[in-house]
Amino acid sequence: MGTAWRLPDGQELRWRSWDGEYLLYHANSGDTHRLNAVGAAVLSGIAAGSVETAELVERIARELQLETNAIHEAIVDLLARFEDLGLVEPVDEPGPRADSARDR
Amino acid sequence: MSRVRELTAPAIADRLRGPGLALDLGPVVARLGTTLPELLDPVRLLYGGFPIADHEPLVDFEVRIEPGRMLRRWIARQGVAFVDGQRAFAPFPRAQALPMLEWAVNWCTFTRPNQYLLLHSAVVERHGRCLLLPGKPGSGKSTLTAGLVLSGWRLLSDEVAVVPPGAHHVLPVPRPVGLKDASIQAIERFDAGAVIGPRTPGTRKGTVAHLRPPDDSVARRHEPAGPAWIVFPRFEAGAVTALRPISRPEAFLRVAHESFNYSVLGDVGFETLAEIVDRCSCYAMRYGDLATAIEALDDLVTDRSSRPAIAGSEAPR
Repeated sequence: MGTAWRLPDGQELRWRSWDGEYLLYHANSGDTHRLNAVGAAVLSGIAAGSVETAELVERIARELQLETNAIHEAIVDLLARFEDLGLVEPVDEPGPRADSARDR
Repeated sequence: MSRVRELTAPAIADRLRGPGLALDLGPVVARLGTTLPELLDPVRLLYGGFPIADHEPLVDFEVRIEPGRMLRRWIARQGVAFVDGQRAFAPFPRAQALPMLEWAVNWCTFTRPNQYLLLHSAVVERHGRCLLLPGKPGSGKSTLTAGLVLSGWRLLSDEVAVVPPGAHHVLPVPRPVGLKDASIQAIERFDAGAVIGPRTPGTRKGTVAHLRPPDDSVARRHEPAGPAWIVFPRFEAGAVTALRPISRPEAFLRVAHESFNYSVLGDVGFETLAEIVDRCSCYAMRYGDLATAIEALDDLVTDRSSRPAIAGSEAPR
């Protein structure tokens, strides 16, 4: 079973979208991030409820009409970056952080 | 309310030496004071159109420029700045008292009113819509601002866009426009009638001087304007003037990065800046001469296609 992801408790995110791009304000860190459609879909997919990596990839592939294989690797890397930024956290791994290749 | 130039020189000198000269600068009231006689004429010239705000119950900050004491006064001929009665900044050559006064007032204006979002940007207005010109030092922002103001645009500020949280407009804070080195000659060539204060050579920015803000801009200092364009200027000698559209997310991040207090205001800063960017068409502009740059910006005003599209604020689905 793959890793499931969720937003940390108390996470507050604000969005703006223009011209196919997204700006995200992460109130917990005070950082502002610029995301493309895939990045926004990953984060909003997790914000909607905890979800496993494989299911997330399939959902985004359907939504953006992309090949699953073409985006799987990129989404796994993106999840690792989002975790580093404190935007998401794994549901089932309370111990030391697993390596970013756990879902490869 | 009397304006500074309506007072006699001795009356202004008495105020500067004594309680200070309180000025209504728009969103802030500043009190200026000095015992240096060489500052009297420049203050009269550059602030002549400002109303005296003696009746204001709240002064936001006081800046005094004074001679140094003892050795600093008589040997080194240095001056010192005080903000709200406290010594501020390093002592400076007394010959640089005027730029130091302007710098100290700028510093207070950029750091004190944190009830507003403060963006590092010049702001000018025409036909009720304003143009933001964010830019790093050396980008040609102040030269361009001076040229626009001398071409009929209203000056809101040459350094800071003041935005109340949640508002869709920019508040004016029209102060003298700082010019340096070749920009001074460029503005004199552009408009022989431009009123420019004394030159001060040898500052850390080179030779500096200040363009007096037009009386009309000062008179309308409480009249906000809605933003319509954000243009990042970059002067390059010999370059052909060209405007390149940039995305709103790019403009947002560049403006936020140069803001004085975006990170201090948190989500209020994000939402306020988003509302401003939402209403603007955004460009990067390279320019090599003032006249064609002003012409290109004048054209923006008449181009209805530059009206912004509606943006979304919801999370993506």
